[in-house]
Amino acid sequence: MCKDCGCQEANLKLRAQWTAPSEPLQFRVPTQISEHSHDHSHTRTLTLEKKVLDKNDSIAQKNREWFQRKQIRVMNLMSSPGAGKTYLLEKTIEKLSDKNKVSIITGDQEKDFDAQRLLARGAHVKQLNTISSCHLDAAMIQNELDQFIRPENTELLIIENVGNLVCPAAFDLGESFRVALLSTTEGEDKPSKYPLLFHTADLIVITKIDLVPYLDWNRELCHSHIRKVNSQAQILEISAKTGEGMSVWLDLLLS
Amino acid sequence: MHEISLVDSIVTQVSQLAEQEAFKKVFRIHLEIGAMSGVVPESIEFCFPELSRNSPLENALLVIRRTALRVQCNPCSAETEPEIHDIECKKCKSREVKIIAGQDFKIIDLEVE
Repeated sequence: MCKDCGCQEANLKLRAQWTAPSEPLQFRVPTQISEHSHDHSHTRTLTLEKKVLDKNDSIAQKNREWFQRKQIRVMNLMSSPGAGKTYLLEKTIEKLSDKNKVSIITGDQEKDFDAQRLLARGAHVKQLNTISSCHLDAAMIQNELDQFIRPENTELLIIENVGNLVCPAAFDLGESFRVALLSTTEGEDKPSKYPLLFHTADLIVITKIDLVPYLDWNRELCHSHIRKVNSQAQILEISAKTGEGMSVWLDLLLS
Repeated sequence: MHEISLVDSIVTQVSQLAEQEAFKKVFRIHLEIGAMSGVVPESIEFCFPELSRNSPLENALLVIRRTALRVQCNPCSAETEPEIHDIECKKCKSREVKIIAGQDFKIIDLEVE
């Protein structure tokens, strides 16, 4: 809107000048538009070409450099709520020995149930509550450097992200690798429905594989949905309950 | 709905820029949302009026350009635009592709006073 006369002409002119794009543009054009026309030379254009997540990305990069200096490997573990992240970590902790220096940060909007479960297994764990936020971000991890995360007791940091197949995928935390969990009870098609999270994963773990006899779950179909969005990631099928696939999981974790 | 934190971040960045560049009001902000950015344009539009209140972005015209996912094929080098849920070379059907566009969420430019 023009500050001198209150008209919307500046916006209309800008729309007219826009070169025809291949994709549709969206406009929130005010409903009251004046016919009045004049020069809007009192405005200027600032070109930014800046990523909205620049700040998060730069903190994540600092985290990554800190982790590299301290020789800490960092896993960002993501999945929908109920895919079995915490249960897998409980069973993982049980299999680890004292010489495995593992720390776990677990993120949820509210409550510390996950941290309590992992603490009961002897884990070095901290619960982060995101309250209104649906994901962990790089600054939340940065706050824990040299506080909860200390090189003397951490060679592997596991970050159990907030259960959510959308938002966590967009936020780099400074991790060395990303793991996406997909449980058999969720069906086969989640990777196609939530492509970004599965696309960015280095390892995709299909959990609750022991339940396959009781489900109409199709292994080939599930793998095909994964491959459509991620042709590279290693796929591992496990059951934390029966132990199937757990030795491969532990090897990957500690390698 | 991480779009709330994203719009909040835009408002913060633009408010800081307003001090550096000495402007009071943004008439138009132009955003680019890649198909593979994980950002929903409708959610950005929904949050924008409320989160921009009492900032230089209040009442600014929001212009959003959606960019398609664009990949380059390793075997045949073709550049094509597949769907985000089926990432393959549209020419030779290989899945050995590199993403070259469509992952970013950017502020492209601002029309300011």
